[in-house]
Amino acid sequence: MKITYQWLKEFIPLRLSPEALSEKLTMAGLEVAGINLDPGGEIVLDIDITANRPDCLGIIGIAREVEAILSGSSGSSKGVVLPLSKFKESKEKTADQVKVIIQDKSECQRYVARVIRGVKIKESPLWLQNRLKALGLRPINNVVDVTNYVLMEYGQPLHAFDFDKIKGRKIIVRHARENEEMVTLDEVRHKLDRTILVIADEERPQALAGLMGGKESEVTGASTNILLESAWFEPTVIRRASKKIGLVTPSSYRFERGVDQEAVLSASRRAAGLIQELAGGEVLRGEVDVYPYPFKPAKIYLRLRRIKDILGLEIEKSRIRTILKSLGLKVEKSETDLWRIQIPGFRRDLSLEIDIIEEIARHFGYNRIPAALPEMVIKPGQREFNYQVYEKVRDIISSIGFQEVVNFSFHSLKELEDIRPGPEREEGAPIPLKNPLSEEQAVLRLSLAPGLLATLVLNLNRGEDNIKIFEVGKTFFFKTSNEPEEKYSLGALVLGEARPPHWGGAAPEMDFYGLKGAVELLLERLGVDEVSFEPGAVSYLSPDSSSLILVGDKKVGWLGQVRSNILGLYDIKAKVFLFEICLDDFISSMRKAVHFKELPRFPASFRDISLIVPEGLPSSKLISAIKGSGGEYLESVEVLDLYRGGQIPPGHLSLTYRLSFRLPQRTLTDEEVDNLQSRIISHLTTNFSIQLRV
Amino acid sequence: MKETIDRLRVELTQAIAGLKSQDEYESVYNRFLGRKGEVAELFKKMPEVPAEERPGLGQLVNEFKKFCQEELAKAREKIALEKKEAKEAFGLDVTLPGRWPSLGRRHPLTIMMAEIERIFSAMGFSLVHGPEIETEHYNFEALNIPADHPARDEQDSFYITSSFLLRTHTSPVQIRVMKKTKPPIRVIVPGRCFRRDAVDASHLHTFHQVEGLMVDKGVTFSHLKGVLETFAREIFGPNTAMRFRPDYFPFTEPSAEIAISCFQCRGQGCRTCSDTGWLEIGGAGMVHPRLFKTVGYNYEAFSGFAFGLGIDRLIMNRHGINDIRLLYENDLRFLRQF
Repeated sequence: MKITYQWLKEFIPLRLSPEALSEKLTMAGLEVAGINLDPGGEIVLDIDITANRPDCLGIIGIAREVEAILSGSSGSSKGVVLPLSKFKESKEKTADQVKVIIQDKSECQRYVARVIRGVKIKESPLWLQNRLKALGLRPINNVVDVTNYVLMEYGQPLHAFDFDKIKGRKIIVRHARENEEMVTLDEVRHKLDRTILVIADEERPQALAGLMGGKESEVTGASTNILLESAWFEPTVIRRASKKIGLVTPSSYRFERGVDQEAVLSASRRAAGLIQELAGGEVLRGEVDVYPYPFKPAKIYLRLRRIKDILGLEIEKSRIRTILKSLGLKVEKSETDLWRIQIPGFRRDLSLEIDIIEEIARHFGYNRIPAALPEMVIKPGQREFNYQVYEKVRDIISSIGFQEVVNFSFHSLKELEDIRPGPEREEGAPIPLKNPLSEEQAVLRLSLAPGLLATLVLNLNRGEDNIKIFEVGKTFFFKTSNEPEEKYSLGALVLGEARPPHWGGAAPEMDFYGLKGAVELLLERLGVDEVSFEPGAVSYLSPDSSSLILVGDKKVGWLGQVRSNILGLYDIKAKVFLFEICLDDFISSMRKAVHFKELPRFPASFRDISLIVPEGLPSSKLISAIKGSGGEYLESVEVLDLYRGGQIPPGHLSLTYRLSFRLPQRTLTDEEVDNLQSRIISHLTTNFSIQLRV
Repeated sequence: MKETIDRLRVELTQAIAGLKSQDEYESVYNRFLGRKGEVAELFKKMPEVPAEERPGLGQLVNEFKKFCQEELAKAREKIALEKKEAKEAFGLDVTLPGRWPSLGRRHPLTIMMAEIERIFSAMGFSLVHGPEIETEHYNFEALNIPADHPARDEQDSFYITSSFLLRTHTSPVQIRVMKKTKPPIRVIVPGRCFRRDAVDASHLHTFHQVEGLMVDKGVTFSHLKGVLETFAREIFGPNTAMRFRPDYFPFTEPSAEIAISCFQCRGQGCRTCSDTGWLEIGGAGMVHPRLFKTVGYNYEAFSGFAFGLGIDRLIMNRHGINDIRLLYENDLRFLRQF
């Protein structure tokens, strides 16, 4: 809402500079977003009016606020000076010339019609044009300009019809008929329906109620007789029509927030006076005022002790009284500490005791309420276990070289098709947005991979060539057709060298095992047991260099090399490895506490065994077999070496395992260890087609 | 003679301290322990000493000889070690850059979130979370924002179905928490929010908020100020001033907009604060009685405050970042600065 400083001064004596006034308005909740000098000489204040204060969408409303602010320093309230509304009425009565019929009186609770005859339509005087321009309105002609001028003063939308175009001299406030059409002042043809309220004559709609007038009855240079409308429409009716038609006007903006029923008539009178002054003509006597449910002021009871209960400090009774009075609120009963307060029509936002307390706080000044820490029972803040885990994951994975990134929760449908995890993700369907901002953000992410790849591309294009990134974030899917679900996942991606580049020589390139090591280390640090990897891939990973990640029997994620056809979409030539695990899928199986294990007191004995193994036999099978036959004596098995070529027959490879044997209660003899080793080897050679390498 | 020994002892210590090479060592050795060295000279002079002093002095000279031998042996070892080390370190230039271990960093968003959690946790606030896909009921109606309320204009939403949308604020979690638990309540709710806003340097369709809620007997607006002031001083330093200005939110009353004094210019006005001296960080207020009614709390017995702080805004303010899009672009050159 824009107002001008000079205009405001017509309603209230002001000694404050525009800057000082702005500061005070801002601190009372009417934030002044800017002060500008208009070329016409007016000082324009641009004020943000919150949705609960339609009364401040008119200069008089703002003058009332200023009055309340000033009375804070002077201690007395003189009231706002309302504008003059003087005009001469002819003998003929408006009521004899026009009939107003309201079909649904709950949707139009007041309609004031007035007829002005014989006006001369011309340009408005310069002062009026300048004021409208200063507020960002385009001057049109004297009559239309007056309706806009009064709109800005009272916050009450008005409309002037060319009375000669109103067929049957009847104003009918009714719902539009299905598919009824109308052209508005902006020359747009609208197809209407039964939810839209119109102002019609005998034949057809002449205005969209509360939104905009019709082209047919527009006031033009040729008009001489005017019908002036001032009305009150139900806010939700106007809001719905505004949304449906896709049109927001200064009128609809005010009606949907609620205008003052009591000001409907005074605004009409003010406009009639100005029209007569600027365009001449005779104002017919009286007005047609259909006002089925006359306004009855609401009463609110205020218990003074509640002020302290809510704000935390006591405010003097005399101060409270001054604030309420200056805001136009009447304290009717104040003998006891239970006050009865009468609410005027322009403050429909006030209906509860707390609303009154807020008014008192607002004008007492928030900054004068002291800050104090509450007295509380000592109780440490708790944290859901899941969120402790997400934090821990971020700390571990960043400590091993991955940079955290944060991507948006949605991406394009194309990315979904290209980088969809596929059937291995045992979740539901992706969730598209009904009203996305753009195609790039059409669907909620089912996987973190599209975001990670987009981040990769951006950084490659900006000259990075070693990239290690991760993200912990939510993924979304439909659990059932109408039940959305959210789960936290961790995704990470690598390209290039494992360490930052150095003049002393390049670090090894990241590969499958490099990334797998990160997954293993992470899960180990999180205390997840029963982690295993088995061949398998999701659609965007290469089937030959990928793996599924399992905790127990549950597939919790996947790991591997991104397929070259996917990378081709982004024009990436280098090898990219990526893993993704759903954290929420295994948090329940995490160890929550560490139990100390006694340190061994007797030395271990080591034996290395080398096996010639056919390609394709997973090492994990051999290790389980070794563990099975080693029993309680076998402390651990490690892969020591892998070798191909040389004396190893084609289609085979050599694997060397280091076995560690130990008993907690005594040292094992060499003979015992030798026997154990032979037992293991014979178990292996009988169960697998492998040979011992000697 | 005793004086001579004392003087020589000092001279030996000084000579050894300055030793750099094997050659230097040899010359010091010869000077003290050589055939014509100082020690030999002392022994040569013994016959001249009166007989009754001879045993005492003899012991002194012997002790000095032992001292020289021990000290020089140590010096020789030291020189040998240094020689070996120098050989190993040949060509080392301490001014060349070191080899950095691979260390990732946290994103400024999650760093700030962790810091916010730490501060409120120390004041006894628990950390809770809510869904990002929210029902229209929790996101609006339960927060006293009925359908057709003009306040919805400021929260244009992304819809999933007719009843599910992406939450436009973290406030729905207030209702979820109050429905589940009885007062006293002290929680914070960090999380991602979405609004269907056009994108520019200060607006994005995605942003992060931290919601706070305290409900108990006797909680006042004054406490709201105290708790937020404590928070702001932890994040922005002890001299941070706060400004509470009336504002409107349907789910709190009285409602306030919260700003902190600009830490760049100390309130004088600069580019960071667009010359106002203040930086907006969020909104707050006393929980509206309609919310208590919705969750079945007694508004006469309990009161509460709630706040919502813009995490992106806090980060931008603290680091002087002028474009919110930088936080979500993931340019590694940007992320490596935190």
